[in-house]
Amino acid sequence: MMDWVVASCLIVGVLFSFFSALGILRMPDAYIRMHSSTKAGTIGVGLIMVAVALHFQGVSISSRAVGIIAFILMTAPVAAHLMGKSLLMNNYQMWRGHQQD
Amino acid sequence: MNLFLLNILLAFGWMLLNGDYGSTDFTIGFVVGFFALLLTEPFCNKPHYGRKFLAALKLLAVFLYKLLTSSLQVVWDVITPTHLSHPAIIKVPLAVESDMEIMLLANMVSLTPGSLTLDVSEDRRYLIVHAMFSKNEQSVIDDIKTSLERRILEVTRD
Repeated sequence: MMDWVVASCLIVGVLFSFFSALGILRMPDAYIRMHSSTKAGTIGVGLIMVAVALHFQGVSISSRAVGIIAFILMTAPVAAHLMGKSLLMNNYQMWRGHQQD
Repeated sequence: MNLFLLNILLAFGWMLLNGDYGSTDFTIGFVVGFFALLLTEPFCNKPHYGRKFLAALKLLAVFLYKLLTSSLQVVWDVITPTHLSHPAIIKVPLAVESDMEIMLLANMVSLTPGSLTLDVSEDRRYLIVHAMFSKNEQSVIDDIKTSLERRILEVTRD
């Protein structure tokens, strides 16, 4: 039973990571590429870490897994924020849509 | 916040007393400590710990749900051959004021459906947000304000 849960968490996490990498190649402009890398990447790593914590049950492994998830959740948006800010300051043009000033 | 740290400390105290350091003992200690703090609430100069704790749990649940739906939305746009996105850069007026609240909101907005924080305006009254699926700008603003900002305020304000 537990093996199935671990395996499905791993597969879904890997798929999310893969699609977030694919999104970086496929999406039309830099802002949307960042959407793909922050959101789908975060949940991909998160699910892989959940699978790790469930597989190696024990305080030392699962506390590290929780730590990794917490740091990903804290740092991914900050990195995206800084890139977005620099794009905004350099008047980067979006591929479509419009911009309030 | 201080009471939350105290609650964790109580949980560690429980683990020390029992001489057992597993996650179940931590959970039991945390729950016992939570109720102890709930009982002593009237004597404390910072009331509403129980209510705030529940609000924080609700914020976490809403946040995780939104993270999942937003990832699915982005993944769907990646794997379907047409580009569905309809981006816009929107100014969202802020009701939150302190550094902590703005940081929480900005990080959470970055990880929730179709929006990414780009900047906070100099006077700290607007959040500049890139929305990926914005047919209607007002609905994006309303969504951020009602689902996330209101819940953050429930946690941080009395």
